[in-house]
Amino acid sequence: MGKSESKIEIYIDNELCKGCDICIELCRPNVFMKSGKINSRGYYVPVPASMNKCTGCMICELICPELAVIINKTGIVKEAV
Amino acid sequence: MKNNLLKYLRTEILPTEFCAGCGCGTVLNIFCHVVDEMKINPDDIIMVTGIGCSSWIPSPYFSADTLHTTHGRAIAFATGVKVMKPEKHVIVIAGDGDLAGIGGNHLIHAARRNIGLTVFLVNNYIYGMTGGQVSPTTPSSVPTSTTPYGNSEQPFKIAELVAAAGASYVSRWTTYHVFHLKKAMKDAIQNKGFSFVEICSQCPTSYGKRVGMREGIDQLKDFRDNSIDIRKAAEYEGDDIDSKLIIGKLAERTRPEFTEMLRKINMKFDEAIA
Ligand SMILES: Cc1ncc(C[n+]2csc(CCOP(=O)(O)OP(=O)(O)O)c2C)c(N)n1
Ligand code: SF4
Ligand code: SF4
Ligand code: SF4
Ligand SMILES: [Mg+2]
Repeated sequence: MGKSESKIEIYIDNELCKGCDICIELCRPNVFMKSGKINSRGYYVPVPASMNKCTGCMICELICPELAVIINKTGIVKEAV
Repeated sequence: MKNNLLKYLRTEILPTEFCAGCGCGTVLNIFCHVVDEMKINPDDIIMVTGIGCSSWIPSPYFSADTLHTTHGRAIAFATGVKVMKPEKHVIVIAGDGDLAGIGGNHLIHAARRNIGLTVFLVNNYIYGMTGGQVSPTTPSSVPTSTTPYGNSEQPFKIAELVAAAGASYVSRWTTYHVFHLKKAMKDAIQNKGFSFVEICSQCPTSYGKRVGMREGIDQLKDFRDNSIDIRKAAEYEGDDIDSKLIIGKLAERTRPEFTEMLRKINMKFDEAIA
C-alpha cells in the first residue's frame, strides 16, 4: 500500500462555540486544547492544537452542541463506529 | 469555513439559547447530519413539537414547515398532519415532560395505532425549561426542585412502554452514543409505522447540578460508563443491571400502519355508498 494521501482539517466556529469543553474531553487523541481566546459572548473557545493526531473519527463534529466543529476530510478516512 | 449543515437551520437566531453543554444541541446536530446523509429535502419534512427546551430543537432552530403546539399536544397535531399528508415525514421532537408527562396518553395511543410518525423523545429526566421539576422519567430518590429530599416515585421506562403499546420501531440511545444514535434516527425515519427513539440527554442546568454532575460532559461520561447494550444485558443480573441504562433497539416489527388502514376503510365506505 502506498502512503496515505488523506488529510484532515479541523475548523471551529468561534462565534457558535459555547466553551463547553465536550470536544476537548471526548477526543481520544487529545487534539483540542483550551485557548486563551474569548469570543464575543465571553466563552473560552478550544483550538485544535494537535491536528496531526486527529484520526477523523468524527465524534467531535457529531457531539458538539453548537455545530461549531467541522472535520474536513480529503482522501479516505474510515469513520469509526 | 462554514458548516454545510447550517443550511438546515434558522441561522439568524444562532447560537442556540441552550445552556453550554446541553444535550439538546447535540440532538439538533445529529438530526441535521441524518437529514443530510439521507438526502431528505426539508420541504418533505413537517416538524411538530410542544413546549420545553427540547421543543426548541425543531422549532425555531430546524428550518422546515413547523407546528409549535401547546404543551403535550405535539402528537395530537402530528396525527392530524399525517392523516392529511401521509407522503410527508412528520417528525416530533420534544421532551420527557411534554411527551411522557402531559402528553403521555397521546404517545401511547399513537403507538397503539401505529401511525407513521417519527418521535424523538429527548429524555433529560426533568422539566428543564421551567427549573428542574420532577418528571415521569426522573429516577427514584433523585433530588429535584419539587422533590428536594428525593423523588418518592418510580419512573416510566418510556421506551419499553411505547414498545408495549405497539410501536413498530423503538430504540433508546444517549447523546454520548452519537454513531448509534445517528443510525437509530435514520432507522426511525425510514420505518413505516410509529417509530420512537428515546434519547437520554444531559441537562447540566436543571438536572445535572442537583445530582453532582455540574457540566454537560459529566453526564456524558455517566452515559458512557453506565450504559449496557441490550444485546449484552443477559450477561448481567439482578441489582447489577438495575443501576444501568439499557441502550439499543427494543422493538422492530411489521404492523398495519394507521393512515393506510384508514384509507382502506374509507374506500370501503365510498364503494358502499356508490
Ligand atoms: C399546559 C401547560 N402546563 C405547563 C406548562 C409549563 N411548562 C413549560 S415547559 C414544561 C416542561 C418541559 O419539560 P420537558 O418537556 O421535559 O422539556 P425540557 O425543558 O426538559 O427539554 C412545563 C411544565 C405549559 N407551558 N403549559
Ligand atoms: S464541543 Fe462545541 S461548543 Fe463545546 S467547546 Fe467544543 S466547539 Fe465549543
Ligand atoms: S475527529 Fe476524532 S480524533 Fe479528530 S479531533 Fe475530532 S474527536 Fe478528535
Ligand atoms: S435548562 Fe437544561 S435542557 Fe434547558 S437549555 Fe439548559 S441545559 Fe438544556
Ligand atoms: Mg425534560
